[in-house]
Amino acid sequence: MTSFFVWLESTPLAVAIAESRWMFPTFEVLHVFGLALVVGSIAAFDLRTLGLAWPSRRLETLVREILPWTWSGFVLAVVTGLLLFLSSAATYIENRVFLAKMALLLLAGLNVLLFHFHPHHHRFTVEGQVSPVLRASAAVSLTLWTAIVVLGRWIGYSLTVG
Amino acid sequence: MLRNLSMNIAQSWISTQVQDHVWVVPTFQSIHILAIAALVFASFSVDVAILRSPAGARAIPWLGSSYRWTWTALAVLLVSGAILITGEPARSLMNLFFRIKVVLVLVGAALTLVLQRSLTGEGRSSLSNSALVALAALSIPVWVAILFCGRFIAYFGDLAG
Repeated sequence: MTSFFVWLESTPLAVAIAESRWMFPTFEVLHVFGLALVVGSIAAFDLRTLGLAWPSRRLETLVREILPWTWSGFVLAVVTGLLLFLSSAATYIENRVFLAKMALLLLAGLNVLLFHFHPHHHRFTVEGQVSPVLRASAAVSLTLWTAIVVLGRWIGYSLTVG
Repeated sequence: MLRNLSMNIAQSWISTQVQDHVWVVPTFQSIHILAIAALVFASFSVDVAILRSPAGARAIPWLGSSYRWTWTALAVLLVSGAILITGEPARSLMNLFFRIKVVLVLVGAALTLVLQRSLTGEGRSSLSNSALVALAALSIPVWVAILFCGRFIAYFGDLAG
């Protein structure tokens, strides 16, 4: 398994990213920008669902409006995240902070699926109803995405400090 | 002058506290990124709405909320940014990209203020639709450039010699 990640970071693209002076920082900025689009749009929806922000934005229109932001940010964050990962794949895959971030991303994804397949989903999008389960889902989502941002920042420190 | 200022800050009590506690910098960097996320969504929402329909943007019911989020996020960015500078003053103050970032933040804040006043304030009709579109179109790359400068401080532009 480890040899696979060692091979990954020895591929020409990975070596180019690791050795280039500007590629890693550029992908890092784009990764943060993608993450900002994802977290900003999801947090807006979560806070609106919890009744804490954007009171004058209708939930059903907010859902439609934020989806392009969320997906474009997600694609950008995933592509740039993979490129950053490639540059030191064997190191990242053994880093506990990185693995914790990936686990939380998985949980955040499951939470989104819960929202989409929740039996109240259609009532919610049509009539603006918010069930207690969806409120709980929004609170969990806010917590998870905040933790993902924190862990993402800690990866750099755990590689150099710890 | 900035070199002396950074040396004075580095010798202050608060700077040593930030340097001595390893969790402070990553914590405030995380808060900084969360504030960027709030600012990007709140600010870009209005900018995109203006680009789609400058006339319609004046009637958007959530403009007030959007600007509250933008200014709150900017305040959090300034406070968390100040704490981060305190920890490593030379790294920021003696960096080309930090200086460009400060100028761009002022430009971004000015653009936000002008757009807000034109869309929601007393000067509601002070800007033409084409001026609104131009300022909104400028605002987006300004915030993106601020993001680039903020991250590039860690890699490029060291003026300390």
